[in-house]
Amino acid sequence: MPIRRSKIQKLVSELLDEFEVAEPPVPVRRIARGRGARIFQEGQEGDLSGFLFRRGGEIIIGVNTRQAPVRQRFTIAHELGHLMLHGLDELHVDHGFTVRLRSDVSSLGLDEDEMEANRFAAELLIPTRLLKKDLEGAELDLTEDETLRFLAKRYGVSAQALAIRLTGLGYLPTVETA
Amino acid sequence: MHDLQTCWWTLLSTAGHRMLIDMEKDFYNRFGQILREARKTSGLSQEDLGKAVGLNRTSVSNIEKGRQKILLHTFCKVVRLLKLEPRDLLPVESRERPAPGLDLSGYRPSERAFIAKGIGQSKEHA
Repeated sequence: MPIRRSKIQKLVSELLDEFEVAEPPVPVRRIARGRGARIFQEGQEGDLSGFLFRRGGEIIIGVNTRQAPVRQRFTIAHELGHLMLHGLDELHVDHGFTVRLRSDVSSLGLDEDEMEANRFAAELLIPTRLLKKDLEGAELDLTEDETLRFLAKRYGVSAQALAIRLTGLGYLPTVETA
Repeated sequence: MHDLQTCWWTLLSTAGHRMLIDMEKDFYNRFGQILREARKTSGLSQEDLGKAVGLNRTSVSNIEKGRQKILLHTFCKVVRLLKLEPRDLLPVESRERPAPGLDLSGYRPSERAFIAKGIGQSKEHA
């Protein structure tokens, strides 16, 4: 089953409306809390990035604060994606997921739920509507590292995640990557 | 199942000797797996760990395979060396299980602690 792009877009769009997000960075912690999740944050050695726990009406998102702040934001968004998209077991743990959003990696067998959650996270953290607003009329040279870094900082995401997103939206040419 | 108390009840009951031996085997097998994981996480070789706690490499290997039983004082040295809590290495569930019925045995000891603590913040188990 291909990942449900339009469903993800719709969910993200509704969230952005509900939480009145007009400017980046998207307040991902506030949104997760607004959706009823408690956020447990603590440093943790190893590659555990986070978890989602659900029992009864209770939702807990765990975040490994040993990882970079942009990564923590991604983790929360990713777990929120699982929460809104998937009927997982009561405990779901994520380890160092790679940010792969291009459809051509689906053949590598990356779990569909994970791909959907990653997609959700990317859409939420770098909303199409905000990005469009930023890029329209602005004289930004997206091929400049400086510009990418500036935008990544503005959205609170990694430059890599941003570049993938820009490529996906056609703002950057597709490049051959391994 | 592997709750410490369950172990003791089995020991005190009239359960057959066979079952006890199986349980013991399983206990040391699981301890060995946890130790191996924890050692690797710390980036130590069997030799490194052995040297630091006074075992040769073969013993470490045997312990990790569940074939050899670790002595209590050696266990303490290992715990200190790996900067862990004793319970992190024990193949028993925490007594303060925050969410009954949740099986965390598939996770690394340190991860288990992280998850358990996170879930432990939950209202109903506070």
